[in-house]
Amino acid sequence: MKKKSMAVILTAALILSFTGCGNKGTAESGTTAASQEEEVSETGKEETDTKDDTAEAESAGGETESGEDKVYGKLTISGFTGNPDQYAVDAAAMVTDAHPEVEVEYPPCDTNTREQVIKTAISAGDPPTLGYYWGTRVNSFYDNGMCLDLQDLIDPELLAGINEQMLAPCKGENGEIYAIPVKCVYHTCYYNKDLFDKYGFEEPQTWDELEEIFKTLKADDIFGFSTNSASMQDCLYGMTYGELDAKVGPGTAYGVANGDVSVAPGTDAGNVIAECIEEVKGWYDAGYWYPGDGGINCTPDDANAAFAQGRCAVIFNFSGSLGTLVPMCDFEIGTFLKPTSEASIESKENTEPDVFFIPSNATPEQINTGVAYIEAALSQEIQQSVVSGNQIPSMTIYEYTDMTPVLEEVIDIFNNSQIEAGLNPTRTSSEMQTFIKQQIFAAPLGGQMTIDQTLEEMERIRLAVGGQ
Amino acid sequence: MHRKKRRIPKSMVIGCAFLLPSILLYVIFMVYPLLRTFYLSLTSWTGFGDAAYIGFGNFTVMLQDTMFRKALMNTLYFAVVSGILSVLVGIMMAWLNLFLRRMEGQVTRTILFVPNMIAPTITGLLFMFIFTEDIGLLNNILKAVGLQNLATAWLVNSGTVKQSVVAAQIWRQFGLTLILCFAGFQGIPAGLIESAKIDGAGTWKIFTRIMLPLIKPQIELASMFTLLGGLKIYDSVVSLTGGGPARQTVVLPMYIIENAFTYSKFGYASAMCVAFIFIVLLFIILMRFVFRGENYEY
Repeated sequence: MKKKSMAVILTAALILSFTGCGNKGTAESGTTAASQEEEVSETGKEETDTKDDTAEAESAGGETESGEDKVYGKLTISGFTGNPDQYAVDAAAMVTDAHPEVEVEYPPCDTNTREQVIKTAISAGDPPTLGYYWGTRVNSFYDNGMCLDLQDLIDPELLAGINEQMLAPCKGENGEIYAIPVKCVYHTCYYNKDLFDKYGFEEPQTWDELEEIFKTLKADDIFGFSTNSASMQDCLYGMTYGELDAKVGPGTAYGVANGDVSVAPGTDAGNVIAECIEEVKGWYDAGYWYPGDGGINCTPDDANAAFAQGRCAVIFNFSGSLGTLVPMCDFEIGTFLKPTSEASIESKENTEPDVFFIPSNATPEQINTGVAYIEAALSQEIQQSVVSGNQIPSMTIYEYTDMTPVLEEVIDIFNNSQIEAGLNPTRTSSEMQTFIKQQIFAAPLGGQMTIDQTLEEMERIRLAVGGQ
Repeated sequence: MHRKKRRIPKSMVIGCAFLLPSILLYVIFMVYPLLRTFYLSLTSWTGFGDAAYIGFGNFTVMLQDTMFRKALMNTLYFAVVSGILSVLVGIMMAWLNLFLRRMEGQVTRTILFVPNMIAPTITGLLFMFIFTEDIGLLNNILKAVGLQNLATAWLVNSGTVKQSVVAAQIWRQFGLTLILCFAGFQGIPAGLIESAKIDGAGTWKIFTRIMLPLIKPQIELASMFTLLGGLKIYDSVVSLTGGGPARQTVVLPMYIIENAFTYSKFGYASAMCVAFIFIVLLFIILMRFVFRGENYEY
């Protein structure tokens, strides 16, 4: 009898706990639906199913004029790899100062899983308040209907002050603005100026000049260069942009990134890319690439540490890494764009805006909070914080102070015509992104594929996108 | 003539009532997801919006997908090689444990079982520190003992990266076989061993001709657990190599997750899941075939 009673009690407890979880979820959904109804009822529309949330949320966000009427929810920003930058923390602080009820959260991810983490959350119906991603690749979200159109939600004066080149990749076909750039980066080469001065090196303009530098350093057991090759081989791939436009025709680099130009072995573009891979393979085989064989899979921490410790002279990196490198290095850092195969060829580089977007299935509270954050991030104070972090700000209408010499040099380079948005083929598709970031050099250099097989694979992925 | 109504025994009703919560949990968390996966495998779905029915289109693409074949081969390689070696190492360690005294044996078995309790991700990170070229433990040991010519980028070279992953898997998995086989060895009557010794059998012959056959059920169980665990390999690879270098160590679970959550191809990922289910079932049947035959009783 005792055993029976115990069994009954335990079973009842199990059932109650199970149904209790279900009721909690239902209650939350009910609360969300109720608050959505309140928001929507202000605009006089009917509440329907989740598919209509986007339109309703936009209406609620756009038509509510009084700030006091707005309800703010949790600020969850997904997409930061590692700790968020200081400007991001400062922007969040501005939001929480104005709205103390807002809690801030930054779900962690790394470069390889960034897209996965954000898409999973959105697909699961539990979107972050804001997604933080690469601007030229945010199309992988808005092409799937995952981004909210922000043009009616953000202050028009702020929108007008954004660098047009940074904003361009965030726009839809019909002029929608799916994401807002806060700063931008581009791939570049940072070098140890002290080491260069010691050996009497000039900033190289051609591949041959760069190789001479590597060769001289190798004789003294110093690696020529390092790079994050585990997940950022597109940084090295940038060597092809100027070559493609010069040797095949203007606009070819953009066409390759668009998936419009064939890169199959034997084609003009394919031959240029093959030439570039051959050049890098030569550097790898000669042992110029830190740390030797491990260079194919070197992590960003390893690469940055090697550069900071003087074990290599040059690092192929993105401009935003300056914020990490300056505190680490006790020498002066210089920068130059990637050299080209011939002095007559102009080097080109891709710019990558860092953007925030609001998921299309965000709740009205999330939308209000997201808009508040974005507007804070575009303010003078936060854009100055971007500059103080040695990064390129997106707003062109402010005067900035306390800019380091190397950042001034970086912005000068950025403002010239050699930097364009959209040259990186990682924006073609998610699969192309994985290939360019992780395989395009590692596969042929590691012997897993020949250069022709590498180009065939790139072509296959290009055509797979075209066939969709 | 009146038929006697068969009354359902009260005990059966109570039993079913107690089973109901478990059955509900099983249906909700196992059966429903499985059925939904089968359904999604016949559709094209980005995870957002409606799923469009495309029949067996996903399976057709899968058969032509070289990356799928590569990921499947990698998964089978890691599962089979690490499974076999884990079982062998586990059996040997269990046998060697028999020669230890009681207290020493308990401590040793506990220490050897600890890797089995560590999360696969931690194992991967641990072995990453061991195998890293520049500052890794293994290379530094090799240099210290004068074998620097053997030092290499273990996680990057195509000739060593898979073996490095297998080594990490063996380290993590052999503990289970050790415990199961040791328990089996303990169950063997001492009289059998004594008789064999009297008949002139040496230690190795006793081990191979008497002890091993008698613990066949334990070996089968350990093999099943190890192999099926190996087929699910994901965390170790992600933390150790990230699927690199150049996607050389991508395994099927990784590729499925990538297609679903990065490429937004939930239908295609589901099709690969369905294919994987049948491959695992095939393996189970194969294992039953390998371990068929009589078990010895004593």
